[in-house]
Amino acid sequence: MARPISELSDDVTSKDYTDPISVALIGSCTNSSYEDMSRAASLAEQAKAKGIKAKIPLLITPGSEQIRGTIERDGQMDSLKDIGATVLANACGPCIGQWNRPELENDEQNTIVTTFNRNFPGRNDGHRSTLNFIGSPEMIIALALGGKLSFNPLKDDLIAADGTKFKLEPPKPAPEVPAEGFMKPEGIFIAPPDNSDNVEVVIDPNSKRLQRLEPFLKWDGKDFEEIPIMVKAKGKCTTDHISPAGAWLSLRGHLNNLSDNMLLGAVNAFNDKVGEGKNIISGNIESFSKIARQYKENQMRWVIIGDNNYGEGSSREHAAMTPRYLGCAAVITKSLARIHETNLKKQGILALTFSNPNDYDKILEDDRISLLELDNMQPDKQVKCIISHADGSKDEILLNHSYNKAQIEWFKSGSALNVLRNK
Amino acid sequence: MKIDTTPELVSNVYLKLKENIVKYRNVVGRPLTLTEKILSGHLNKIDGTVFTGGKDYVFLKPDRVALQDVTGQMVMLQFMQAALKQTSLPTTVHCDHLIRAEVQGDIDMKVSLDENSEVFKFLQSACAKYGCGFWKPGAGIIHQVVLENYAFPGGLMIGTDSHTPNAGGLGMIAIGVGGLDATETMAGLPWELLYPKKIGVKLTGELNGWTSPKDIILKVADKLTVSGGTNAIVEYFGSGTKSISCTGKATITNMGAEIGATCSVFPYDERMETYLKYTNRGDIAELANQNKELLVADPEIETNPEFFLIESLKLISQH
Repeated sequence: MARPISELSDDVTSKDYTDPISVALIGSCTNSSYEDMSRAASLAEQAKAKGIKAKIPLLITPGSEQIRGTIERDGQMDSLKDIGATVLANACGPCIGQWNRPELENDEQNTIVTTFNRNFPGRNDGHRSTLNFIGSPEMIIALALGGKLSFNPLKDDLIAADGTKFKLEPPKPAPEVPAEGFMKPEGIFIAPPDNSDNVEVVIDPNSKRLQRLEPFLKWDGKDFEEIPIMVKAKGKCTTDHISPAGAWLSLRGHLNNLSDNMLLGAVNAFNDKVGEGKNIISGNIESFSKIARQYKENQMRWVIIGDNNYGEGSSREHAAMTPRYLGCAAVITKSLARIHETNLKKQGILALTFSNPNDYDKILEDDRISLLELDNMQPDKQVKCIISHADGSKDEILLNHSYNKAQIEWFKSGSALNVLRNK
Repeated sequence: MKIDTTPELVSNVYLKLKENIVKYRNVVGRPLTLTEKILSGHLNKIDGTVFTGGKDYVFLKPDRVALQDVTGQMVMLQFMQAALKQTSLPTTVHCDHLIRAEVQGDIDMKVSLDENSEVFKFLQSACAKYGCGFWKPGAGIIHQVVLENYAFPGGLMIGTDSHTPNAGGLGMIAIGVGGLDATETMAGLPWELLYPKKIGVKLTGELNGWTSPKDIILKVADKLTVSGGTNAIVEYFGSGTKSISCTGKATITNMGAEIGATCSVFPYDERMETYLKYTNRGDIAELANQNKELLVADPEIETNPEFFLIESLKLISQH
């Protein structure tokens, strides 16, 4: 939600926000233009003229080397440094959570103010109790000078070095581009060579972060018969539950190592545990990736049962690739999020939905699932599924799919990439 | 493969826009929004279908691809599997996400270079192998670098990052996608998109004093909520757009991601022309000036926007 600065002070009291600001951050891809930095500098210069500095740490993330070099040349950087600013790298850093804050030992509630674009819990520093308030660069500089969230630069006074009171003026109208043009940094871009026949792509076979992909095996033409259920996901199961980010971010180029996070956040309807299910070989409750690895060793395929809008969230294909890599044959849900559905299809996992959503309730932990007549799979034709219960009884149900002819080939070939490569 | 947005590339895009806009306007039988113009101008084919937003799928031919250093890894690993020699369209990789902030710029950069050197080396070598441009760590954040170098009015790009729509500040339809979408587009396949719904935001008045582009998008986000833009392209129009600099427009389109929008876009104007000229792209500005009618909504849309107008904002209040 947004609010005018005039109402922020009241909200600090009524909503129990932490009033002292711990850090102010400006810049990022969203707000580090020449105009932004000039307006921010205009406020910094007012403070300097009165002999004061920012009351709290002030961090600046230039959006590019071009903008960093230009504001260094034209003086905005010095104006900001004069009030105590620290300049970070020209990179995402605190805006995406790449920010170490060792001073926050106990995850205590604290307030930061930024010009970034996102402010959900944990986004910037990994601490869910950090509150991030987003504003324009000039407003964030004003708040850094005031030091607290309830400071309203339109109304409240600051105290100059000589003890006199003063109010900040609105930022001076700023040029949108530098009169002298932008600096042209060199040595930061590499164009590809004209002939790349002799170029080798560098991947260390022993790397823990990068792994060459192997094509997924094509479908063997046989129906999936009596295969086990890895998880029956209950409630929300987003791509972040299926393939969490955070510390796993560094493994996005290593499918095998990344697969250890598979379904770590999924709530299992069979036992209400998060990230764990029953291994049908050992009978033990184990993490999903551990179970899947054992099934894979034994050449066993398996299915995921999902609730409503399974796979909502980001478009990250890893949420389809890690299950595929560990042997998932099909995802059967009440409904599928659109992008994840396509990603499943492309990676060669059958993406299916219950024709009767209540069939979700028929599925029990020790059941086995059969998906039949797949050789005759066609657009707009339902897939036959048999649920075999532990007591020997069976339920036959029908599953919907949204595959067109070309997409059915993705499944049969093992993946969309296999189709592309075989062309 | 030329990495730059060359005048030849832009001329060809405008020729195609010109041809397809006339066709699609005939198909729908009414004036077109800027969004409809740019999308129809990049359609694989126009066959007489009137597309319904949020329901129909369309196949498009983007003009460029941008990858960052986290999502870009799987894109390149998958591209290696496609067994193709080169990317089929201008593609760049930007090393920005893997750099962690702790102390200050140069010290943090050194630590991050050490920690991530194998990933950067991989991306650099894959770029060289497959004809992509490589922006080194420290060069800048993907969306800022794209705005400074590659974005152009009327273009269509995809990027493997949710804030790709930043380039809408320069009149481009720029959309965040998953890695395999990028891989397939690089391999020359048409790119599939759920045809977006239309949201129009009319801006009147002028920014002044403390008010800034950030306040506009925070206000829009407040009104439309975090999912109000889902499967929609937000198109800004009205006299107020001209009071916002090109980079200010980019701030607004960048944060369109926060309301779930497919992307956001502004009509071409003098502020964009200025930015293009000051970033050494006077030739692109010249082409845009010559083709201005392709890069703004049809005039009837401005006077009679009811069919897609959602919000009207006057740019005066302090926020």
